[in-house]
Amino acid sequence: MRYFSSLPLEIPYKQIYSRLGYSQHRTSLDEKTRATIDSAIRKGFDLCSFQGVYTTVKITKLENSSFHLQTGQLIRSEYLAGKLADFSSLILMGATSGKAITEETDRLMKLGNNSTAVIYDAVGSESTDAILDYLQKYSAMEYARYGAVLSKRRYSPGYGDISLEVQKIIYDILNLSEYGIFLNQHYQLIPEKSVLAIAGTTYHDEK
Amino acid sequence: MTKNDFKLLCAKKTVIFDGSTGVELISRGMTFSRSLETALLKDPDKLIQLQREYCSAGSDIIITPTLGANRIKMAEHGFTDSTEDLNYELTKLSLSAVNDKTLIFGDISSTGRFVEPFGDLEFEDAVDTYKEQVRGLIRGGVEGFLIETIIDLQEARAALLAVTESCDLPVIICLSFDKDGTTINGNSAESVAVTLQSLGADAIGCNCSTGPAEMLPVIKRIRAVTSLPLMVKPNAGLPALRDGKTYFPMGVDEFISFTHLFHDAGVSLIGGCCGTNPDFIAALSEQCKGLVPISKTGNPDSLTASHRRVWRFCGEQFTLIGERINPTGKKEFQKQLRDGNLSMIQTFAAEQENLGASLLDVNMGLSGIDEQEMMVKSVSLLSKVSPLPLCIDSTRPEVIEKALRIYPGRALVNSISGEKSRIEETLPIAAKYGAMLIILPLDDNGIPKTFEERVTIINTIIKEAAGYGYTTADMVIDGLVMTISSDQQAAQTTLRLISWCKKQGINSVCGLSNVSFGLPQRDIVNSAFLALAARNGLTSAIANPSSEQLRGIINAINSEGCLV
Amino acid sequence: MSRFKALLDKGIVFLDGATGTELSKRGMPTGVSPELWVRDNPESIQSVQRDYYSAGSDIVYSCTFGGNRIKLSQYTQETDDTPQINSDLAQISKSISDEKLVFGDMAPTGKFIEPFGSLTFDEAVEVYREQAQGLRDGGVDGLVIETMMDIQEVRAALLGARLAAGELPVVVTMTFDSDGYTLNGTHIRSALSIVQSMGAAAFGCNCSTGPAEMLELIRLISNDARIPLMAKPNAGLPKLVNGETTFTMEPDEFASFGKDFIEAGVHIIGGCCGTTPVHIQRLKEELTAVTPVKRPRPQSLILGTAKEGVSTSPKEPMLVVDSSDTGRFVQCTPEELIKSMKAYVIHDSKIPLISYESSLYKVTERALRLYPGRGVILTSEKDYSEIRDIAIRYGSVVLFKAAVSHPLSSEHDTVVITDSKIDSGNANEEGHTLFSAYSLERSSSSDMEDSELLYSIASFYQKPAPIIVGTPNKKILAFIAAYNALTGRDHKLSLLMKTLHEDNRIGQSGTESKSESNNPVYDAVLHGNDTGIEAAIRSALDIGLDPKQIVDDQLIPAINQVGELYEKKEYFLPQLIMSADAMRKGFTVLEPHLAAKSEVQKKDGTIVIATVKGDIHDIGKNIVTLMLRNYNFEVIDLGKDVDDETIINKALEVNADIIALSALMTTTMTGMKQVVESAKARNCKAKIIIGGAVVDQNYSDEIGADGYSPDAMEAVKLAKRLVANEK
Repeated sequence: MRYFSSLPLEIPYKQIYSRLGYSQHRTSLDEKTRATIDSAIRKGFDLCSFQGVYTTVKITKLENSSFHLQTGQLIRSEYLAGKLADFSSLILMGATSGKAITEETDRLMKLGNNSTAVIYDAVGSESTDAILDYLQKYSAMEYARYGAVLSKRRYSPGYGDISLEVQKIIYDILNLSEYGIFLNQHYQLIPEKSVLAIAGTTYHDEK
Repeated sequence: MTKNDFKLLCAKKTVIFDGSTGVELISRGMTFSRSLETALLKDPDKLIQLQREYCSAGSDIIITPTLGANRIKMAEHGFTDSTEDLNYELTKLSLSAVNDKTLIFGDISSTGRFVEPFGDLEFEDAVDTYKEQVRGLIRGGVEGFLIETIIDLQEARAALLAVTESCDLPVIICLSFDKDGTTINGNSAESVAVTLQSLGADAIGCNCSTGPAEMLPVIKRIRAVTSLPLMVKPNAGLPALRDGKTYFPMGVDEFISFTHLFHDAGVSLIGGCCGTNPDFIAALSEQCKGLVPISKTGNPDSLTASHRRVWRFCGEQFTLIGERINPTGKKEFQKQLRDGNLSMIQTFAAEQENLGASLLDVNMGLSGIDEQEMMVKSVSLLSKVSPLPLCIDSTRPEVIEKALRIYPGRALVNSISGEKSRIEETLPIAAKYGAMLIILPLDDNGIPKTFEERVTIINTIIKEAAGYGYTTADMVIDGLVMTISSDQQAAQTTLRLISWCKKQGINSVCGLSNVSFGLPQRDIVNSAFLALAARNGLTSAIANPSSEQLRGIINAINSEGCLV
Repeated sequence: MSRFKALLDKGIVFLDGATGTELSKRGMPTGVSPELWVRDNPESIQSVQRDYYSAGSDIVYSCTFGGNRIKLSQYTQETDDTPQINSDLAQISKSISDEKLVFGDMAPTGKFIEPFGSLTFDEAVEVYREQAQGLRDGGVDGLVIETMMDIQEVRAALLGARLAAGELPVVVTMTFDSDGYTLNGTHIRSALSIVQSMGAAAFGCNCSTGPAEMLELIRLISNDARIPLMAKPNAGLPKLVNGETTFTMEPDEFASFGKDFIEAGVHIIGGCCGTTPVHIQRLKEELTAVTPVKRPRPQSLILGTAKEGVSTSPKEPMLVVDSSDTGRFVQCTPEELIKSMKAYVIHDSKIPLISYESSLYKVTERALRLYPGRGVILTSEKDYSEIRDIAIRYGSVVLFKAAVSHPLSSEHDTVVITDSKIDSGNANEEGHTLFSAYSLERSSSSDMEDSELLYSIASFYQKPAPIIVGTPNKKILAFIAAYNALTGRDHKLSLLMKTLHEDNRIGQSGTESKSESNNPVYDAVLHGNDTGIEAAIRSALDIGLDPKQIVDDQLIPAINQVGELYEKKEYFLPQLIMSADAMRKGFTVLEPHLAAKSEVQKKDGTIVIATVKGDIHDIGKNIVTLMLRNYNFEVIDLGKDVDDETIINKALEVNADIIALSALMTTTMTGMKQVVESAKARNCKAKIIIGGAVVDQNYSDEIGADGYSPDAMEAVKLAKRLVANEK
């Protein structure tokens, strides 16, 4: 299990702009407005506190599109089974940008400053995604030393046929409550800007 | 005698001319109703006597009594016969007066009328008039020519060209300056010297109008800008009035007391003008026995001239060539030119001069106008209204020819490239008029991108030009800067070339605006390029003086001191 | 140092290849600490290392990759044994090395260091010092810090190594992706400058990429490296083949890159993951009779930071060192220092720390120690001796404001401000440690004309590394941009276009000075100017415009225009919302005036909006609410996590025309179906529309809703359509 209490991320400007609908060729954005938006992005970014964690769990068997995990749980998904059949283990990742960004977003909306709120929201989402990028690269490097490889993509519950219940499985294995991340009965993560993901790997971490 | 013999003579000894002819003859009782020249034909004795005396007094060279023997001057006296024959006869007279050791030089002087653009006498008419005189003198047997007592540079040019286009005999040219070193028409001693030496004079000097004391500083100024042999032929002091008659008060002793000063100033040809006689010459000759002229040479390098001023490339200041007299991109200017209206030329000239231009580039390349005609008109106009030397900018040899012929100064020709037509047609033309050259490092294959290719072309051109007597001091090499928006190396290639020019000791120039074509805030880019280029040794630029940025940089360059 | 140096002088130096996989072949199980296992099974590593020595390796690494206290703590409680463990492992290797060399291997601890992480810098230094001590005691011939991706960690390791084993050569290799950055965003050139200025004996890359990619990385730094270059690539990239991971590059192909590496300037070469003794052997064979290339002397000055750093060289722009903000870290307490440092590195990450006068050297030392990059120390001749050691220790650049008479150390870079009039040939000889710079400060005191200053700056472009110190004004910056472009220091002229273009726009700040707009209210909405709209409306009211007129002629057309621009994608979301916010604010200002004139707009419809039960996402809903209100709908926002009963109650109460529902999760979208059914059951006539990332038109049809909209503007259109149809 690898846990990061903070992460040296760069502000993902491009992804944030993209998320907000910016099109390089069509959107006309003057310097002044861009500067205002960039400033809001920076302020939003400063509100984030990043945490990340990942671990690898061996797949004891893959049968009927169900991954039998060494920890005992079962993850059922035809989609995943198709994508990750070649891998011997699953790497489970969790990331959060903290709650301050969401609290501030709500506060701003109440005050009628929706434009900044919308930017903060995008900052939170993209930053959380950036944490997962980081974790994926970091683990790839670490496992490569042992000759292991990672799947190129990662997959999150709620997409494809990966049911939201899988959130709980990952949540439990990663023991996220220890880091201040909670899962409600609707399988929603709190703080809002948190996300879990699955990738495949050939690394065997027996600890 | 050949030009070379003449040169050797001037180096070997101080050459003594004769003294006054006309004034002395009159004081000896010669009278005439119409012209002195025709009178002499009828009554040669006094002349022959005088010239024999000069001969015995020690004159090495005696001049023919043909001062006013040109058609125009003679016509004033009602003379309608052949001027050529007149000159022939008079030459024969002088020849009969002297012995074998004395040389006879043909004397040519003013027509009395002003030549265009300063007067109504057309330039070719002036040249033809002089040629007539020259033909007669040559037939008569002169060994060389003295063009003297001229008060206007354009007239001097016409006379000089008349001689050089007729024969290979040596020609000396002396103008009359007042004591502050300008002719009555405002030509400075320097502009006279620079223009006439480039046009092919074999010696330059001053005569008449002033005595030796006033003439000394003027001849020094001339020496500063030329390495040619120098001549002085002063009056016996400044004229005074006595009993209603003009007389020249200076005595022989005082007159010859200036000899050593002239000698120190580098003079090698001395005579006397109004108020002198064989006694003066005898004393002079005695003084100058064994006096070998000092080999003090001036610096004729890299000088351009208008009829009023000279400008030396990389003297103490950076040379800014104003580019605005060029119809490209100027709609209003184009319209006016097509209408035959030249007033904007005058405006551009004045503005650029005010803003610090040292030379003016003139380009009349525009469809719908006769480039040749417009160029001649522009050059004429500018000669009258602006004191700045000109840079003649055209791709056509015939345009350059016409411009150089009429231009009363020494121009800069823009440009000589490695293209066959330029080398074969334009270069000889420029050489004939002794113009300075802008060298463009391109050839029939186009504009070379690399430094090495450019240097090769430049060396080729230098070699070709050397065949016409040019040295690199007469050249300014164009760095040929292309725009960095299409080739990011363009500026660096040019900077390297400029550096090379500096190392070779050759002047360089750049058309600044090229470098920024297609970029925003071109002014800043141009000025920045100028700064870099100057650091690499650039000595001049063709640019628009209206730019404050540019002027600022030029001031900065000048305050640090020029480089070559 | 001398054994290593002798190797370098002799020719190409060969390292070993992968060890982990070789140990697995010799029985090492997965999941154990290699260090502890090898310590108990020394013949395993000795066998591996003998193979590498025979294959041609001049240097092997001790098996201490994870031998630092922090990594070991994952496997054992006895972390105090760390020095002994390292010493033993060093000896195990050394005992079979004969004439060849062993380098003590030090690698990441896995923890992040301040200012980003929880480990203090001093703690990190101590961890490495401890390990280095052990390795030294075990007899290693040098130390290698490898597979590093955090420059701060590299710094700590170098300092720790120097404390324990100052006489040993220390080499550093880091891990970069094919773009040239570590995972933490440090560019290889930046890292090189930090490492070489802190006294490492060699620098390079290992792991992460195969030889082809690593070759490109080396090429990025071969012009700037003042120390020998190292390359230790993987055997290609790992691939999954038939359920097995393999490094696909065979020894022959691996070796074929050898000559290219040497040509690129590499002096020390080996292999990383996936390589075997055969790879090393083939490499050595390929490189017989090949000698290291003599690289030209570097002419660059690079101020490395944790990101890209700034630099100058013959092909780069002039370096502008802005010395105006030197007091930044003076007043900080140690805690504040960390926080400021962190923010500084994140936001100002391209600009190196400029320190201040050396009279505050203790504070200087603390800041420079902590700063994950190269700093610049401004000092005078008088104070130099105090800060000299600090500069050497942390690889800082020393900047003198005036010419210096005494000899300077060549162990740190020095920049001296010189008079531009001194011919560049005359002044201090440009070397790779001594640079001259032009100062803007000096000239302002001597009242230099702008142009003279600009001309002076031009002379510095004749130096390979032009540097300027001071705060350039706009004009100077424009000229510098031009100088850079003209001397080939601006690739594709991109910086020139940016500088001169911006200038143009700043010059014509006309959008404000053209403020004599005919429609200030319209413009305020169009440009999302929520600070200016209030004034615009007040002035419109002052000149007698009717409030209703302002709404109809200015606000509504403006928001319509904004809507169109948004649809054409000429505006993106923030611009849409800024305009909507401005309009909202405008309405707030106008409301009392409208009420006074009884011109309260009759609303086009009433809408009840909510995020369904169990779902707490409401940003989308809030935006839709905002837009609907701007388009003259009465909107009652019930908030988030609202059950169907509450929604229907409200809808009935206000006789809503439309109920709008939002859901963002697959587990909560069923709540929408419930609302539809509940409405039917309770005879609520309101039209039901839905939105949210998880729903679509199909779902809308499926549950019997009246419509779906993908975004706020579509929602507005949909609402208008439905209301119109009803009429």
